Amino acid sequence: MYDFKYQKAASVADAAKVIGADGEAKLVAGGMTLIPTLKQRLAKPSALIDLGGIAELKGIRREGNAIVIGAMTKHVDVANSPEVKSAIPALAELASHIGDPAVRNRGTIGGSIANNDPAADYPSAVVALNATVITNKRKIAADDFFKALFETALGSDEIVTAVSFPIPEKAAYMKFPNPASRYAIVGTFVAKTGGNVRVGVTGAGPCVFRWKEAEAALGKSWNGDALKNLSVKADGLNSDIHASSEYRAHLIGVMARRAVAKAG
Amino acid sequence: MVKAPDTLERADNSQGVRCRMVAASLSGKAVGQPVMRVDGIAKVTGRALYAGDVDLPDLLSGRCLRSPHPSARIVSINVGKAKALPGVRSVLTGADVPDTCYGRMCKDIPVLAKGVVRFVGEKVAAVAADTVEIAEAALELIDVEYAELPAVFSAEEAMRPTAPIIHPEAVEFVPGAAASIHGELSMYPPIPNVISRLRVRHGDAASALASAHKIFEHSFAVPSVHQGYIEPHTCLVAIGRDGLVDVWVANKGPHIARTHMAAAIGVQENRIRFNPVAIGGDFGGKGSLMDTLVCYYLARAAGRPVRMVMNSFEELTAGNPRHSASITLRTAVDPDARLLAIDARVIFNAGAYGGFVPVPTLHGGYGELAGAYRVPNCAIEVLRVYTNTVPCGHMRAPGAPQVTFAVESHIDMIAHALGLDPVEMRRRNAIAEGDLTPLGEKRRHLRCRETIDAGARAFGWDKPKSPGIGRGMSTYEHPPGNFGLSTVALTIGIDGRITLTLGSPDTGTGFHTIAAQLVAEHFAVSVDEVEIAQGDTLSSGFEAGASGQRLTTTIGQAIAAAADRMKQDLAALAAERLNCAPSDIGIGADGSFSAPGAMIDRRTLMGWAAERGKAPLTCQGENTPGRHSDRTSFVAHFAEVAVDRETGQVRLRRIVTAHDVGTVVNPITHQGQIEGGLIQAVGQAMSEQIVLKDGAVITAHLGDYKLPTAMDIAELETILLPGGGGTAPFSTTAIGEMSNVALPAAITNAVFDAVGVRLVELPISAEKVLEGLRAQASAA
Ligand SMILES: Cc1cc2nc3c(=O)[nH]c(=O)nc-3n(C[C@H](O)[C@H](O)[C@H](O)COP(=O)(O)OP(=O)(O)OC[C@H]3O[C@@H](n4cnc5c(N)ncnc54)[C@H](O)[C@@H]3O)c2cc1C
Repeated sequence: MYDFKYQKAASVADAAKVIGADGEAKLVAGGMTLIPTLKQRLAKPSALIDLGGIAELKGIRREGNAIVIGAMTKHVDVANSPEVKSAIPALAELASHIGDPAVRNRGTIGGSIANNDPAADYPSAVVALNATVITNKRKIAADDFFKALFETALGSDEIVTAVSFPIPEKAAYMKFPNPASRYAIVGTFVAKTGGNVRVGVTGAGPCVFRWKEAEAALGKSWNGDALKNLSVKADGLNSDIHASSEYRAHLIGVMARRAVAKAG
Repeated sequence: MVKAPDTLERADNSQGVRCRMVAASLSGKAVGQPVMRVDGIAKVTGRALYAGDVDLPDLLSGRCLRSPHPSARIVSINVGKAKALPGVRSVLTGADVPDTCYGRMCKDIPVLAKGVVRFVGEKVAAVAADTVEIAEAALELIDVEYAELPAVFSAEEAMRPTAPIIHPEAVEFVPGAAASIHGELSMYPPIPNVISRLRVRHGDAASALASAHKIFEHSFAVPSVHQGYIEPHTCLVAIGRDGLVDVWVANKGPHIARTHMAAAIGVQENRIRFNPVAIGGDFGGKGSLMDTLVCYYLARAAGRPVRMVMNSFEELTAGNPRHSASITLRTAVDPDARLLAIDARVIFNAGAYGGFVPVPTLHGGYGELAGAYRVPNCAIEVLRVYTNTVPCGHMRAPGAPQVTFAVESHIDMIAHALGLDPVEMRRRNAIAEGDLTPLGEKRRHLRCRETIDAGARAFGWDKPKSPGIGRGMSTYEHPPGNFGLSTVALTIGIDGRITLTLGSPDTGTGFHTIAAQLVAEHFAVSVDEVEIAQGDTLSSGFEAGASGQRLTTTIGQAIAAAADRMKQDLAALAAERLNCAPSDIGIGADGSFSAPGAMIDRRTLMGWAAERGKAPLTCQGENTPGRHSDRTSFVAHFAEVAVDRETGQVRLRRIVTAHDVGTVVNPITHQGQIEGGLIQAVGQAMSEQIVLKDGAVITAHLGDYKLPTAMDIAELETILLPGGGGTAPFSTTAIGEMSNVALPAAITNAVFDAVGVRLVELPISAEKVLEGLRAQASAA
């Protein structure tokens, strides 16, 4: 690890000021991704700005027909939240299968989506539930937020403060986990909200994406069988030691069908 | 539960004689008891001293720069900038260290690369600095210019006439260690890159194959895996003002390691002291000096002690993992499915250096091949081959998991081809009393069939099952090791308490607890009265170290010999005290001494002796090394899986493991060995694999190198068949390398049973199973 300064931010504005002024400073949330990166000397930030002390970033609340989750809310708290469990059980379940207990007790939703790991679970839910990412500057629609591998719409001094998930009629998440880390080799989130169907796929490609053909088919008939004749092309999907792109393409279909069945 | 017979047999293979001795029946105080680990409290409270915990004044941290190329000439190395970095105390390259190469048998490992690098991860330069961070920063300032050379990664390709020769110079090896006991051994035969070729024959396999009713031939591949210990390789070297070299290193055999170090650095053995440390897991991987030599040269250059700890990246990419292997088996059977002959070819990929193992080739490559079966004709060829990949070492039953995966898959495939139930196939061919092993050795107490039957019954082999569920089994045999010298010293203090001094660390198996129980048993005292003192290499007698299921047998014999002497000395003391002849002294069940009309307890006797300068009392004991015990033991594993036909995912639901055992010294540590071994085997069956790309290990962290966790472990039931007949002194058999070897084949056999997909390569992956299912569908 290289040397860096450490600073605990008192407020979002305070944190934004520091990262705005110092391009080399970095925000730290749960540290589950950032700290290993530092340990491997893959990053050399001048300072770490800890968001852990900012009360306004924590907590889960219901706002009208949406569940709003503060950026610093840990995975374990989403998994155990009575609000989330009753309004969007699929989201609570997704959170309960992230990594292992240690990771769930440190990792945060803000850190997860800001990082945009291609194998992370949350991005599929954000996209399929058509959530809104709220930052210190603006509101960003799910479809505009995740840009590319480890890349988001966030500006250099922009901080995720919360994510607002509209409550769906039906939703479910199915993942085929990496046996070691439990990251998604493929994860498919299906949701029907206000009559609209969205299917978010993570793990399979360089960045989360929507499987539009499946959305159209499920829009006509909300039934796993509607997907039987669809297939995803392997071109452009990830191929690595965990799975080939062909296998990932196959899993997208299987996981989507199972998710629809699970959503009921 | 476990009872020792009154008469014990002591096998002594080296002299071909067997002596009988009568032992007292077990006291019930020590052997057979679920005694808590003697090192348990120190470990859970963090007081146990590991090599990495040792702190010394002026201690420096050492780090190594490693090669990014699998094969290259080093054109130049510039260390000027690194040396100039504040806090850097010494920087070394190959030019600064002697030409001597190190190895446990083949002396082929340079301290630092000299002129060429032979694998990605080879040490090219080393730095000692005030902190690890400074040392790492210094490594980044070292400029190395390489000229890449052709490289070869697969053992088969390395043996081709056109392959680049990885070690063109003759490699020196310790001739003694090369002496072949089993067959015809050639070291460095005229085949490119081959380190050793061993040919073992019993009977006439060629003729049997030529005239057989049916012949089956199958090939298998088993990848390299890491030992997966928690504590990384760690060493610390301090050179005293008097020149005494003090070493703290995570090494399972300090005495032998000290001898190798002395030879490598040209310092007398008695001027080097390996100090006792706790070891955080070994699984066969901690037998070498690893970084100790470069650490010594850094300490010498800096004039200060140096500590080196491999990080997890280095462990996974440049440790000394298990040899990968490819195995081809040809087997002849008669119309009754009886095995007539096996012809086996086993190729081990040794990686770039052969010196991490103390033998010409891996014992498990031939020693127990098909050992559970009656095979009258057998021909085995084992090759160990250099490639430009990470050098490989020993791992828990070296060679056996690879070969047993092949044999136990092959037997299953033959059974299915002949329309025979896999259990029946094995029962029919199980080795039994009077049969010779496939290598033509005579063993006794052969309970292979009984072990299979006990497991099958507990498992419910014949019970109906649902679709998608599969069941498989596998079996294996392996005797306790009785090779190598063990020396111990027993001391009875003036308070009557007993101390055992030995040279073997407890690598994490619980062996020190076992040793304390064995000592306590001889004196019919509770384990609380026994201390274990792990001596350094100057103060303890020679000990060959943990390997090959030997310690309970060899140190057990050394303890017995020391205890016999001690009892005689005590009887003489008691006779003196009680004014009678030593032959009149009786030893009571409570360890007290009696003569006609008089009695004295040990503590009082020692107090009396102390006043006369005759206590404490110390006696040495040694074992009589042979090779292996002629009492082998068997294991039968049964596995149940569920296979998801849409994804190919295999879920392991249940394991039943049946073990043929002698006296179980400690049921807790015994069960720990069984469960730990099985979990290790689950990893190797289901997820673990060192993956190489262009010769470099790319599974470089535990997100990619997939060790199983508690979440992956299936329901487990253990069946023990106690039967005695084990080795002296307490009729024990071995357990350390019994459970981890054969399980993977039971699981792949279960996958076949579930969905008809045969996996001939480990590990199982959902994708491979799905490919198999698709091939099936398109063939149909
Ligand atoms: C062993 C292991 C297993 C895991 N398994 C899974 C899994 O199965 N599924 C899964 O989805 N994830 C998994 N993860 C990832 C984990 O769940 C975390 O979500 C992830 O590491 C990031 O969250 P964090 O809070 O730790 O962020 P940090 O590591 O602290 O930060 C990550 C990045 O986000 C930035 N950042 C953090 N918060 C904000 C914010 N509010 N606004 C803007 N930028 C911000 C940081 O600057 C940094 O660049 C795993 C991680 C580990 C170590």
